[in-house]
Amino acid sequence: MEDIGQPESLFNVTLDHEGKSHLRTAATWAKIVAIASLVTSGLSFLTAIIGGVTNPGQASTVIASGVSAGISALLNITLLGFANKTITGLNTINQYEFADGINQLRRYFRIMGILLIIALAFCILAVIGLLMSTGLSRA
Amino acid sequence: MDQQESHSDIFQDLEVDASVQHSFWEASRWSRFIAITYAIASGLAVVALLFAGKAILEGFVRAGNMEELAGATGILGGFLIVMLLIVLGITATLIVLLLRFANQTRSGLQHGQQATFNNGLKSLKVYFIIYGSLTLVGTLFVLLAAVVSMFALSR
Repeated sequence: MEDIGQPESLFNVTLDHEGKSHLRTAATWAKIVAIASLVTSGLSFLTAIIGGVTNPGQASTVIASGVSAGISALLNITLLGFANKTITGLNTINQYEFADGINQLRRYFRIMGILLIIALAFCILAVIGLLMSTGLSRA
Repeated sequence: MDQQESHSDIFQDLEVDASVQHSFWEASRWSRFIAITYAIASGLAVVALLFAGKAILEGFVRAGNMEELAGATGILGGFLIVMLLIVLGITATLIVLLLRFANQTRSGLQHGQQATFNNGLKSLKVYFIIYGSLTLVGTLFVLLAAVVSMFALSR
């Protein structure tokens, strides 16, 4: 698979009316995703804290919820940055804002990809641990 | 010279310059990785559930009165299968849209094809519309759960 890292074309694409319309709608809904996700993770963390206060045995749940909320915040603040900057760039025809917005989109997918790699690593370790423990118990 | 500068200002518009191209290129690369990984993980999850689902249902039947639970097991199993199919359908749709964004944006940039590039942006748009709708529904459920738990704690 060739990956030249940079598109090479004599005829660059432009941002025409159709492209702008798609990007504007995508950015608007990305904003909804980001805000709703931030609210959800915040509420979940708050509920976990309240549960932890009333039942001290649930400390691990609070910690897990806190980590999850932190990761969600990192991801969704980046997504919010893409949404806001892209919409601003499109509305004010500001090339810098627009480029920064698309850069935030790149960062969003990169963060998501890295988190996925970490999650996969944990899953593989868990499966290996399960297989080893099953093998040991049979022995 | 001044007239030329003011003339160019009138027609100034957003460009897919080198910086934006690079960002789209990298975004398409990572989103393709995410889509393929989710596709493989979903496939594995379906296979695991197909085997584990049968074991869970058999456990239900063995746990209590078999005659009473047999009917409930059938209804529960049917409900679970329907839910699973809905979740799978939504997941598959999101994966396909993300993959289309990745491939079409990359192809459009690489070959200078405006229509392909625009189709990639359209796929990104639809992806965020579906994702946004699901997120709103999820947020509603979490809000309801939070209200119910607050109410339960206050009593």
